[in-house]
Amino acid sequence: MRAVGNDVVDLRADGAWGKSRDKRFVCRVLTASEQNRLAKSQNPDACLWAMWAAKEAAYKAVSRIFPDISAWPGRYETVFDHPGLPRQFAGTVNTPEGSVCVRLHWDENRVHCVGLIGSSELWQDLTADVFEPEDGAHPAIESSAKKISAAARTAAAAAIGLHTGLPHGLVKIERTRVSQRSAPPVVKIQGIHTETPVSLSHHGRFAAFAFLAPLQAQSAAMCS
Amino acid sequence: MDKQQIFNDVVGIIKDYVKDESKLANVSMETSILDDLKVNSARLVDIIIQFEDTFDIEIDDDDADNIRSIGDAVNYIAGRVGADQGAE
Ligand SMILES: CC(C)(COP(=O)(O)OP(=O)(O)OC[C@H]1O[C@@H](n2cnc3c(N)ncnc32)[C@H](O)[C@@H]1OP(=O)(O)O)[C@@H](O)C(=O)NCCC(=O)NCCS
Repeated sequence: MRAVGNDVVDLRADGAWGKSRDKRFVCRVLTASEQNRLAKSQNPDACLWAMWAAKEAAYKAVSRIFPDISAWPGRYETVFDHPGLPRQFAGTVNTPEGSVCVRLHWDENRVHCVGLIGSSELWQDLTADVFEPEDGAHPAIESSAKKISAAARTAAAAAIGLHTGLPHGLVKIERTRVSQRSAPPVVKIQGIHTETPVSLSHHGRFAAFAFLAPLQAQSAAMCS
Repeated sequence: MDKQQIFNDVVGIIKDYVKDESKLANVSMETSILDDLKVNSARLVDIIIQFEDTFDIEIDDDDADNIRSIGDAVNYIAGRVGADQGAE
């Protein structure tokens, strides 16, 4: 089973900046040991949102396999490989249904985390990106795709197209809803549902995506 | 307090977290807080905390996890405060 999740947090966005001082929020979303890590951190906002992004990325990956799993962040425990908060590091998130490996990257503007379920070699198959749609830097974004959700979707579809060598427009990312629960996005190639694991995220100025390389046989079949 | 009153209070709390006000035009019991109103999941935690303060209740993690729509919130709060009918 292969599954991917990703989450981006804009550290300057309304509601993110200074949030590490909101004790009620912190106590609701972090476990006791995570609160301890936060208390010792020299970058408390980045530390809080790194743990949050790791939990969200893990939820997005694991909920593909267990759609009814709890999404409550306090039920997810982050275990980071490094006691401090280097700009780039790895770790694990223990979820109610097993653990998810995560890799994080942060700077003054944002935290981005990708979570993977599957063998460790899968990291080689991963493509992930974080970008600011407004700055026009991402070639996949057309001016009409103003909305950040559409921007993440368009960029991910274009990157999958690039990866599989498919012409622009054949790859689409769609999302369905199961009762009141939102369902993960799915990749469709020429209208056909594929098993390519993909994840989208957007917050504040940033949009992000991650996907695992489509299985060779599958994309070859789609092209023929 | 009746359900209509709770509905109005719930919408009043949530509206502060909705960036695109046009999305509030047709809110109903079925409206999904995350998907329809585009509230992000961190702000949903803030909303749960505000429900606790406004209605003077404690919402445990399992119950909080089940609040996805306006109706989920209204029905849950009504059950906790013993509300009369309305807003169905
Ligand atoms: C999946 C979820 C956690 C993401 O929320 P978020 O952090 O606010 O938003 P992000 O931008 O990082 O991610 C949104 C993207 O996740 C994807 N997504 C939605 N539901 C998903 C799911 N069940 N699994 C994987 N990905 C999902 C979608 O592609 C969505 O983008 P879109 O709306 O533009 O299509 C949230 O939508 C959700 O369903 N949460 C469950 C309820 C919950 O969180 N309850 C407790 C309060 S924390």
